Order: sequence, then structure tokens, then C-alpha cells
Amino acid sequence: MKVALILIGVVAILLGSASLFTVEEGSQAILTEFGKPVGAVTEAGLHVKLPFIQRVHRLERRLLPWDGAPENMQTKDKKRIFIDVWARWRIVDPLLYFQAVRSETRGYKILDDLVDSAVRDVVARHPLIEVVRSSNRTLVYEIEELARESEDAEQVQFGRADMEAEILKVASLDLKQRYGMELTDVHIKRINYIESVRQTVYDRMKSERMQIAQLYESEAEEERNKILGRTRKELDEIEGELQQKSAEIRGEADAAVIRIASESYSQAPDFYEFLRRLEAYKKTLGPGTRLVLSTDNAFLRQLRGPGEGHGEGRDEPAAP
Amino acid sequence: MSEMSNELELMLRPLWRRYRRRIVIAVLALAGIWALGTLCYSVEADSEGVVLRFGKYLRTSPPGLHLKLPAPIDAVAMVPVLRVQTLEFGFATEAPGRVTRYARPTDEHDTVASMLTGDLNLAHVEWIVQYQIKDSFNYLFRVGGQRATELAVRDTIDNVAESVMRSLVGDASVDEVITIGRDQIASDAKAEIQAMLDAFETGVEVVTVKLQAATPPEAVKDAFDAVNRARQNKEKVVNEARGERNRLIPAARGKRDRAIFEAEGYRERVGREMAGRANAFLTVLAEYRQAPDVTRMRLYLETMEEILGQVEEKTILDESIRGLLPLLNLAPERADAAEAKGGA
Repeated sequence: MKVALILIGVVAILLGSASLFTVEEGSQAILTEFGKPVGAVTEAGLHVKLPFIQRVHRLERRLLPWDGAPENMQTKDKKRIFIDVWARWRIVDPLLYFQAVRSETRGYKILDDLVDSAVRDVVARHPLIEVVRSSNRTLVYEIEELARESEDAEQVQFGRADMEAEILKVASLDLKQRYGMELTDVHIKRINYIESVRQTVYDRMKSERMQIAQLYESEAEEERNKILGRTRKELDEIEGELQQKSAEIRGEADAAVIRIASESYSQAPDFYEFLRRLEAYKKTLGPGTRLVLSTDNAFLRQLRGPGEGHGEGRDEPAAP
Repeated sequence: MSEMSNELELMLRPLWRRYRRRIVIAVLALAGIWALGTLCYSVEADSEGVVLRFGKYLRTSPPGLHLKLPAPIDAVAMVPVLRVQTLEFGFATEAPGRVTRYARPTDEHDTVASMLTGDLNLAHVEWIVQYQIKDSFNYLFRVGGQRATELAVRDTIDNVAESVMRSLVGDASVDEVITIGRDQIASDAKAEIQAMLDAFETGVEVVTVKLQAATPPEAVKDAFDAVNRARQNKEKVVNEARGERNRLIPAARGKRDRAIFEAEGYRERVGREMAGRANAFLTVLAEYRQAPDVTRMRLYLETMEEILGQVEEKTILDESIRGLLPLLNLAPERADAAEAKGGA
């Protein structure tokens, strides 16, 4: 009796564990009967199956990575570059996937072939600039001259995003129908010139910059000479103004002197002359002078006698 | 066979009898420890616990001690939601610290950092992406392909960040990448990386995207430096010329103003002087006109008096003795003067 109970218990546990299975979040499961897939479970949780007959195979339901190796290729304008691409994919039809692909390793292999050839295809159909640029936004430069040069750079009709969309389209052509896989994204991770081309790019960059440096040097000279020349000019203007204004003012002053003098002295020219003459005598005849005078002189006339001189000497000082 | 087991039984029976209590206690204790381990779980302060029942999402637990059903039924995954994690691109920090040490740059770093710019030049860009988990369910169950989910997500962020940074740099000029557009590129990158990671449902929040170094390639650095030097030299030369100008012009203006003021002073002075003299003359004239003859004679005589008082050598000749003149010993230079005065 006791033994029978234990036996029943063991059988029940065995049956239970064989007919129950769990599916974790982020995964899905396929049930097979003797190797033939009969159903898929995409819901997470506890599920029931036929014991011993059905087997469970778990598959990813999460987004899966794919990371390609860098590949050398040529663009439409014969630029030799290498491109490194990555993609993301998921299993959308688990039954088909299980039959056609079965393992993730094979899934990656399929993508290797499809994506690589799609990239090669699409890149060969476009010039390098379209792989690199995403839009036609105007490039901004610190240096005006470079900005001007870039204005007549070629415009792109097709940017990097369009390129990636095209690669995605080409690569996922019949992926879903044949393998139950879906590519959600293809993106260019790295793109660069191959090593040997890089050196010529460096040389171009160098010469482009050196030319700018030379421009700055001669601009400096230009600016300096401009400033110094303008300074010279202004100095001469200032000096000229100095000479002009002071001459004018001094002339004005002299004219005023003449005007005032003539206005006042012309009221009595002979009196002025008389006064001026006396003043001049005082200034010119001093201690060092030797005078030889005649008694005929108006001043000395009186030396000749008391009666003479008056009347006759009146005009004397006024007529030298 | 059965004899052997009988013998074993005979050997074990006394032991069992003797240690029965202890064995039962030990078994119960082990069972207790197991139960404790599988019925309780504790969530660290910087984490969240995601509980699955038979693999299906049940709940998310905050930090602390919690209960769950035993092992085959409930399982817990810990997600460090508060931890900010950093990815480095184009370089590697070897030992962070007060003086952070960086690993020697490798070819791999160079491949990551070397980028084509929109004008088909090359730039060297190193940057970091810092992120945090914002949705632990998505973080755990939306991105796969690696044994550990943190590696899968990390891998995705890595790919997305490189693509986004390259496409932004590919749409900018070298100058923008190296100097003027750095902040713009970093903030655009943050937004675009976030958008793509959201589309992939990675459950990750991008905290920072920062350009560490954005330089021209090593081979052309000298040329870029030469441009900077030339530009700074230009500024220097121009400033020097401006300095020269600033030194000369105000001094010249000062000189000019001074000369003009001096001329004005002259005008004022001689004008007033003349006016004074003229007024004096007119005043004198008015008085003179009251008695012209007397005044005239008086002025004349006073002047002559003053002059002759000062003149030391005086020779006075009478009209009648004209013959004396040739006998006088006159110095030749004074002859003219004497004659002129004498003739007066």
C-alpha cells in the first residue's frame, strides 16, 4: 500500500515535469513531435505539452545583433574606402525560422552574405560624398575662405540615411519569406579611406591649411600698412590744420591792429606823426650817440639871442 | 548484492541509532537555509529586482528585503537602475583617480576615432557616452544575442553611438568638429542616440554625450597650428600698428590745439595792445586839441631835453662858422648819422 502510494507520487511528478514547460520573457518556443514542428509559443509563462512526445526548443524573441567585418570597396567615383556595418534583426516567424535556419549561428551566416553584398551593391552605385553626408546643410567654417570654397561643393541627392534604407531594402529582400527573419536596421558604423589613400588626404588638408596661414600673414601686413598709412595721412592733416589755423588767426590779429591803428590815427595824422617822431628820437638817440647840431635847430635857436626863434621854430619838429 | 547491503545496514544501524537526533536537526537546518535562500531576496540600494513567475514578468521590487515563491516557480533578476555607466570611444581609461591614467592608444582606438568629415577631410574624435537604465524590463528582455543582457545592451549602445557620431561628423566641416560645432554635435548626438535606443526598446537613458578630444589627425596638426599661429600673429601685428597710431595721433592733435590757442592768444594780446594804444592816442588828442601850439612845443622841448641830457657827445655849431665842419675829427661811421641829425 505504502509502496503503491510512493510509486503513484513518482509517476505524477514525472508526468508533470514532462508535460509542463516554461517560456521566459524575451524568448519563444517551438514544439516538435518526433522532429516535426507542430506549434509555436510566444507568450511567456507556464505552458502544457504532450509528455514524452512533444519536445520544446527555445528561440530568442529579443532583438538580435549583427556586426559585420570591415570591407574594402569602391564608390561610384572610384574612391577606395572601407566600410563597417552593423544590423539588428529578430525572429518573426519562429516555425519557418526553426525549419530553415534552426540556429542563431546560421542566422548570422545568412546575414553575413546578404548584408555584405547589399552594402557592396549600394555603395558602388553612389559617390563617396553621398555615403558620408546626411543632408545638404551648409558647412560652417571658422575661416571665411574655406566657407566660400565649400559653397560650390557638390550637393547630395541621396544621404547616408537613404543609403542605409536602401541597403536594408536590398538585404531584406526575401529574408522573411525564406528564413522567418526580419532585419529592422542596417547602419554604417565606420567608413574611412583605406590606409594608402589617407596619406594623400593628409597632404591635401595640409596644403589647404598652409594656404590659409599664408593668407593670414599677408593680411597682417596689409592691415598694418593700412593703419600706418592712414595714421600718416591723419598726422599730415593735423599738421596742416595747425599751420593753416594759426596763420589765419595771426593774420586776423595783424589786420585788426592795422585797422584799429588807422581808424584812430587818421583822426590826426600829423599829431600822430609828431608824437611818433618824438618817441622814435627817445628810442634811437641815447648815451652812445654823438650829435653835431647847428644853432639853427629849433631847440637850440634860443642860443642865438632872446628875440629869435619863436614863430620860426614852430614847424621845425614836424619837418625833419 | 543483498548480502553486501545487509552488511552495510548492520554497520550503519548503530550509528543511526546513536546520532538520529543530530542527523534530523542537520537535515532540517539545511532545508531551512535553502528555504531562506529561495524564499527571500534582497535588492541593493542602487538596484531594482525583476521577479518572474514561471518565466513571466510578475513585478518589480524596490530596494530592501522581499519574499517570493521557491526556486522553480519564481526567479529574480537584479538591475542596477541608479548606476551611471560610461562607454569610451577612441580611448580607454586605464586607472581613474586623482591623476587619471589612460591606456596607450591602439590601432583599434584610432580606427574608432578617425572619421570622415562632410568636406571629405579626416578628424580624430574621442568621446564618451554615459547611460543609465530607465526601464529594467525592456533592458532585460528586449535586446539579446549575448549571454548577459548588460553585454547585449552595451553592444547596442556602442554600435548606435558610433553610427550617430559618424553621421553627424559626416555632415559637418572639420572646423565644426574641431572647434566651433563641438557642443552642437555632442547635443545632437545625445538626442539621436537616445531616439535610436528608444526605437530598439533598450530601456536605457542617455545621460551625457561628451566630446573628449576632437582634433585634426596627428599628421596635419602642424598645419592647423600654423594657421592658429598666423591668425594670432595677425592680431598682434594689427594691434601693434593700432598702438603706434594711438601713440601718434593724440600727440599731434595736442600740438595742433596748442598752436591754435597760442595764435588766439596772440590775436587777443596784440588786438588789446593796439586798442589800448589807440585809445590812449585819442584821449591825448582830445586834450591836445584844447591847446595845440603850447602842447606841441612843450612835448617837443621836453623830449629834446631828455634826449640831449642823455647824449654824451654834443657839438654845437653856429650858423656863421660853417668853415669848421671839415676840421672836425669825425669817425667815418658816425659821419652819416651826424650829418642826418645835423641836417634836421
